[in-house]
Amino acid sequence: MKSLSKIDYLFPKEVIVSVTSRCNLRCRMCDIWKSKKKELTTEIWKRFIDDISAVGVKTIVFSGGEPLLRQDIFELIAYSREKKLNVCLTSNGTLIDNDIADKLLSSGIGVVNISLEGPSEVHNYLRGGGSFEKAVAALEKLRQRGIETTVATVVSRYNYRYLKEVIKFADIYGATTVKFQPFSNLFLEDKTKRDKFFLLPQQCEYLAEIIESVIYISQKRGISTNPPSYLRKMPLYFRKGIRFSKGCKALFYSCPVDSEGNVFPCWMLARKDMLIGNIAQDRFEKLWGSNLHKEIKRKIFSYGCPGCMMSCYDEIFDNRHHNSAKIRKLLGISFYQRKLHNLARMLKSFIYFSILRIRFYTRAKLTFRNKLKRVFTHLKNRKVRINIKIEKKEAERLVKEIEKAKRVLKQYLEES
Amino acid sequence: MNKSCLKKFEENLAYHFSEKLNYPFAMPHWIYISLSHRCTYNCQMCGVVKILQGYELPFKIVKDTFDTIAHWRWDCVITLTGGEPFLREDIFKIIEYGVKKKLKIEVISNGALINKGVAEKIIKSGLRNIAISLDGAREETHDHIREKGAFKKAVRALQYLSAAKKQFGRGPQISVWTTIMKENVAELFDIIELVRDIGVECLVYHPVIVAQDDMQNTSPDAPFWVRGDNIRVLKEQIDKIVDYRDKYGLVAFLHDPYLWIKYFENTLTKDDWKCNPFVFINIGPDGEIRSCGSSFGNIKDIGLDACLTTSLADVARAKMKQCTRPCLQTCWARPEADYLDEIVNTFIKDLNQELLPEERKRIVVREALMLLDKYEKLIKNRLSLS
Repeated sequence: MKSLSKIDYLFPKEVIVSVTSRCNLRCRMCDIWKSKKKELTTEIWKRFIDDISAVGVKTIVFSGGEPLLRQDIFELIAYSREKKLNVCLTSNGTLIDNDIADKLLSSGIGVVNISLEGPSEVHNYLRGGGSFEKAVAALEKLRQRGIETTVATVVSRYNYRYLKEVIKFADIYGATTVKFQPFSNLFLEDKTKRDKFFLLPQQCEYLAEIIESVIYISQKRGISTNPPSYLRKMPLYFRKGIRFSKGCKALFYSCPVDSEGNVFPCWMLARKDMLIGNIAQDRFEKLWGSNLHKEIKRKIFSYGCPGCMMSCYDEIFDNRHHNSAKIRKLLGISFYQRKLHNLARMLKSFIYFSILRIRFYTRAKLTFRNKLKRVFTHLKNRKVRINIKIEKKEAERLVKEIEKAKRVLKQYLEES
Repeated sequence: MNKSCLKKFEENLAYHFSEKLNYPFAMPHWIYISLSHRCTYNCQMCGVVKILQGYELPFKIVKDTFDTIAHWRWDCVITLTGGEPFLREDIFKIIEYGVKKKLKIEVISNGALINKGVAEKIIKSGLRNIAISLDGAREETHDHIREKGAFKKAVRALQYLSAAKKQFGRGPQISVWTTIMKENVAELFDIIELVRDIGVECLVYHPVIVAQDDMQNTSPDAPFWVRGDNIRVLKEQIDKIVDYRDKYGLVAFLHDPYLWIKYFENTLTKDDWKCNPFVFINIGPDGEIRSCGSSFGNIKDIGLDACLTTSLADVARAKMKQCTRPCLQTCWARPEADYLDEIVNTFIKDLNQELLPEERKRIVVREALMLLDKYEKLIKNRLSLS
């Protein structure tokens, strides 16, 4: 945990801001528009932009809902540019006409990220009639004005066959990057809907094949996508889900803020008990690195996070990004030294743990084969995370019951 | 004692905490697989034939399911049922595969298709139990409920089976299942006398359920429901059966037989009989896992393992927990795993009965403590997170 404490005070590289929860589309895989959250005023956002630029944040991503529904979005973009932040805007593209494209250009936007789910039938089915044509037109208009565009795709059961087509569209309409992200029920109100969008095991095998060709085509056409290791993990995610037993780097690199101004450690943990604070009430530098934030981070690191494959954090899948020069410099060790250090630490804990277990089981008189078997099953089981839902009162009652049962057994031991 | 007391303790703990923490620590003990809903009869109290017509569970899916179950290494009993399972041409192939995987397989049949050759095949197949349904001690009763000639066929099947078992000297347990209903309530005890002479080794009674799909919908107005004077008759019959069981065995009770009276009087409550939603699953011929009318998921789509942890399964289990009218079927309950005190007491009792050196017993108790620790740690972790 030494390294963790060293980078604890680092401010994030990127801030993702959901400026509104309103949206003009009613997509099948997203219920954000239902939440009807309050919105902050322009002044508060401006103060926030001041704050983050002061602490050295590099990028701000305006997201939503549909951020273009906010009247003052161009003002915010221009203000961020003034503060020398890279600005990215995530939109569905349906509102971008010539007028808005001009405004975006004059505000000094860096990148516009347009969502594209596949060919027109699929896109229109998932996002509503006519949305594909508008999104493609938006890409075209932005290209004409020389604004960099990227394409974002949520991979689900409906569109996993058409990932290659998305790359082709991106190439035709001049987008530089395609970001794929597997479906997550994060933005769904009814979490049981998840099964509708998740791929079946047979389809996962097919997805694995498609991904290989996606990697090939993207390299051939010169379009950058997520790191290959990230893409190749996608079938696994659909089959079993991905869990990080020790949290993830996204906790240090990026910071999500919702439309009400609440700051969370990451989008997956955007819930009440993980709330770090509100930017309308506190300054950013106070929230980030506060004791509450540190405690939340430690909690996540010690118990693991629910695990996700949000494409904004895909860097963690690629080790080259993982050990950035800045961190190396901060830690004062070279890349290979750090690698060695990690390996040694892993080995140490593994050996220590095994010896502890073996010593424990040697006390119990078992055969050697059984002892080894136990050690390995224990090591295997250690990775399984169990999510249980239980109320606090009930849990306390159960603990009492268990303690009582243990007392009975211990009494038996003493008597015999 | 077949199972070691520690294994039993571990299983009971798993069932107990599965129910309390809503997470499948325990795998289901009873797994019913309806291979198809085709049947030779159209019995009056059974509507299975009319639902899911045309669906057959493919052999490949059954095979995959068996593989998964074998991988669990859990004490499971797989019951092949239907419709009439012997209408499936590949039934012996399925049994053979299950036996190869060292699973405990049972078959429930009406006996209509069991001739001498089939009986010999069954005896040789390595089944654990073959159950034949017999709903009356007299021909008229059984034939009235099922179909003309059904009684003779069932009795003949039992005779063939016991003859074959005698011939080979080994084979599955031959048992008879009787559904308690208005028509046969006066003959319950007579069935014992009938099957005893044939050579049946086990007799199981279970009360009739009215709605096949939704077991909570047991209406007292339903036909076949035992009511009025018949309840007195049922009580007399139970007295006789219990008396016989105490002296000679043969009858196996899955629960206190006097609960049947409460069941038919509609006074049976949750306190008398509690369902544990983690004990049983029923796989339909379409591959859907259903319980009490709600679905867990389809094994054709996502496989058995994944079905047990779907959000649908959580919803279905929550519904079963809220059930106010238990149905007293053979499947749902695990009364020995309801209370932690009882689990521990049973464990100590079993341990005392086992012929083990004192030192070994202490080790077993320590392992039991470790198991408890595991659950305690889990709950405490959860508490500290929230």
